[in-house]
Amino acid sequence: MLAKVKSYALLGLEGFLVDVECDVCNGIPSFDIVGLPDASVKESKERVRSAIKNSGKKFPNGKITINLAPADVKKQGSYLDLAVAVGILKASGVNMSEDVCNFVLIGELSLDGSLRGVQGVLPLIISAKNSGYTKFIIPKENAVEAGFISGVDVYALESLNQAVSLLSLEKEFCKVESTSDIKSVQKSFDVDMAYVKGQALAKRAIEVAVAGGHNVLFVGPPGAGKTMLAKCIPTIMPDMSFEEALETTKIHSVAGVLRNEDGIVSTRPFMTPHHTASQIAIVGGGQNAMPGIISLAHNGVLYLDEMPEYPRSVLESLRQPLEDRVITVTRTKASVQYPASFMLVASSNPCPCGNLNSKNGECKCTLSQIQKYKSKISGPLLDRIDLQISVDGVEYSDLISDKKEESSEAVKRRVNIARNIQRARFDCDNISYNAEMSEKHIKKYCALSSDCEEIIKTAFTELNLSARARSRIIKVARTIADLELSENIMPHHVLEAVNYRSNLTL
Amino acid sequence: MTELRKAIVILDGSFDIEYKYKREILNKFSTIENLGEFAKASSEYLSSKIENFNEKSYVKEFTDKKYLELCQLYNKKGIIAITEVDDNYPSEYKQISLNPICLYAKGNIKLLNAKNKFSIVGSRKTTPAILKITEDFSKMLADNGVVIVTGVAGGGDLSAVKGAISSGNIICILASGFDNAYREYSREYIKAVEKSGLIISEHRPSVISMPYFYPIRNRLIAGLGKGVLITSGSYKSGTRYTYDFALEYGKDVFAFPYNIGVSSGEICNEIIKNGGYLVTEVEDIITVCNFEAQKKVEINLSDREKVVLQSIKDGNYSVDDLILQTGLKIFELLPVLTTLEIKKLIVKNGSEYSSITN
Repeated sequence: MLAKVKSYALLGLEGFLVDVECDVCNGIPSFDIVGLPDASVKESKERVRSAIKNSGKKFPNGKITINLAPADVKKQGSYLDLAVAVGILKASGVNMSEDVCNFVLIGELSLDGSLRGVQGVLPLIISAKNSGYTKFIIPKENAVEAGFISGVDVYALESLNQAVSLLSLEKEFCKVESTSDIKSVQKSFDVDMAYVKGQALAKRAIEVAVAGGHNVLFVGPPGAGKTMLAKCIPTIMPDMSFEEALETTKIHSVAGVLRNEDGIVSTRPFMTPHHTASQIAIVGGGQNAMPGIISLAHNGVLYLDEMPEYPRSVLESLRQPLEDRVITVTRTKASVQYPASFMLVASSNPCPCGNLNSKNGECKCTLSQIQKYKSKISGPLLDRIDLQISVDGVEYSDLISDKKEESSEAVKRRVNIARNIQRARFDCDNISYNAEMSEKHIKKYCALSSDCEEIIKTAFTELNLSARARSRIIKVARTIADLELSENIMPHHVLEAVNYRSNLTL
Repeated sequence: MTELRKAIVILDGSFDIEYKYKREILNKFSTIENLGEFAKASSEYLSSKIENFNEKSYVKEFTDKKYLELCQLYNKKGIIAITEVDDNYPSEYKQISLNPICLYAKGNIKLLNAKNKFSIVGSRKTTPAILKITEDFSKMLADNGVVIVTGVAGGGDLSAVKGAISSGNIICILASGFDNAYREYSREYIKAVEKSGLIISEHRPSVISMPYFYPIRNRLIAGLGKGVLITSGSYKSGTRYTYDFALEYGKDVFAFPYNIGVSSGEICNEIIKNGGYLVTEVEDIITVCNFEAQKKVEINLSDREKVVLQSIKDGNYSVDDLILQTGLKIFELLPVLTTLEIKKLIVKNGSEYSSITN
């Protein structure tokens, strides 16, 4: 007999329908799965056999053929187990309702027949929903994740038996409740802007950077507080919208780093790759075309501490995603595009010993050492970093003073208002913040008065800026204007924006 | 209007008296309060010095009526008389001995009191290459606010005029009275300087030039500028006088270097040998005479910019320091810092700012 059930598979972040066709007929007992299954799918055979037997059901004695259609697309992952098991049972005569073909079955089976959680459930369900499928059976472990999708009937079950009971209408089970409340899962931070003394320039730069999604580079001697400032950034980042949270969660789910208790990534990611991380780990790739750290940082922050310490090849590979905000991971059999829209925050010393231009130390580096150090960050990469500022240590007296500093909460409020302005502005466009504007957007939303043009022109000649710098300065000026709730970009906005790049501070 | 001024105008405008006597009269009788007394006292002095001196006709001239007549006459010719007791009498002349008693000026009087003035002289027999360089230098200086002072000869002087005429920063000094200026020199030339620059003379309008007027006129050229550039001159050239006066007045002397055997360069090489400045580019003059300062003052700064610049005056300051000092908010301070950087008044060292001192 032939039975057909539905499952879904992932290619990158997008799912595609897999028709699991099960044929059981008389003949020498055999069990084959065709349709380009990869190793983990091929291994389902053993899992399914044991699971069925240990669930107290009869495993058919005959020639079993499973076809995973479409037959020319590679299938990978262990979540097809449930569909295969149900397909076999149906094909061998177990009574199930006609409704089975409307269900999408996802889950890994353990040998005792219980349903195990898998990664990628969220993107799978989203893709399936977009294609019109509304009924799902998923492992209970993935229930929280699935709860964030509305408009679908999701049953989170614990075993194969439960699935069969549901599908044969023997028992009723409750559906997963959908919610879009992500606030309950948000973490609190252990740093705050109020703990950073002085550093008015750096704090202002952070505020502008976060408000508009711009990239920042801190240059300064060791101990100046660069890492502390970077860690403050998540505390002032505006709360993710539900859509952004879903997007980010998809990626984390696919990469298998989603925390099951939370089910969703609700605070903006802050990723700090180690210097020894490989290019593939950072950018994405590998046999399975997995997302890299830059994609895990999507809608969040990628922090490169001591940027010159990273291999040059890694830094170079960041240039494209910084510009396009996506990363295309190409492997022999597949080409997958992952989103990579993150805020880049980098820190660096001004020279190998760290004391160049510092008021607290003598630089002991030779000129060629300094040149070599500087050249690790190429000009084009630097040009993609909108705000570059020098930080230096504060005086001890300032450090222990009890002057009241602004809290992250206060800054976040201003940032949120600026972000809302941007959200409204880009309503019909498909970008979210000023840093993402292309030339077309700049023309449309950042008209400059002749005063402002004059300032940019003078700054170019007097301060030796590059042509690429122009659009970056305008974008930052637009953010500064938004923070001031100003409709138009005024000369002092442009002047402040120029300040953040006038020196190659490195 | 002091009585003394009237007396000087009349004394200088009505008679043909030698300079040395006029100088003595003014030294002796400058405190006299009224015209009549001045006339009487000076008349006595003059008759003791000059044979057959007609006291009566002399004293007769010293009336208010005569003063007014002279003023009207000058007015009609477009001339302004500036006596040594007037406010706008150039301070440089107060420093030299044998200063002109009364100047007759036509054109932009303000140039006389300009802060930066520089003299350029050259002989008529100057090589074309030097002529061109002189014109360029003159233009570069004049375009930057330096007023060029020169004579009215052809050659080097004329090049200096050509360079400075477009900006109007030019003063020419005649060796005769205005009435006779056109006789000697090209009419267009003089008219052009009258229109955009300034022409002065220490002789009253009707005076015709005499040979010895040239050397004494040269003292006026040497005395008015902060320094003198001598572009050319053979051993016999009149520029020698200008050189001597410049030395006497303690002015910086500059000269172009010449090849051996070029006659028009003899004085120049001599000047260099004796410690004058060898000039190959305009910066040589600008640096020695400190002309840049003028330009900086002309840059307009807003109040905020001034406050911030003041706080950076001495030493290195971080943004935090400046916020404390000026009380400005960070987003008010940053635009000002950028503006000052663009105007090249401050410079960033790492995370600190310092001012660019002159």
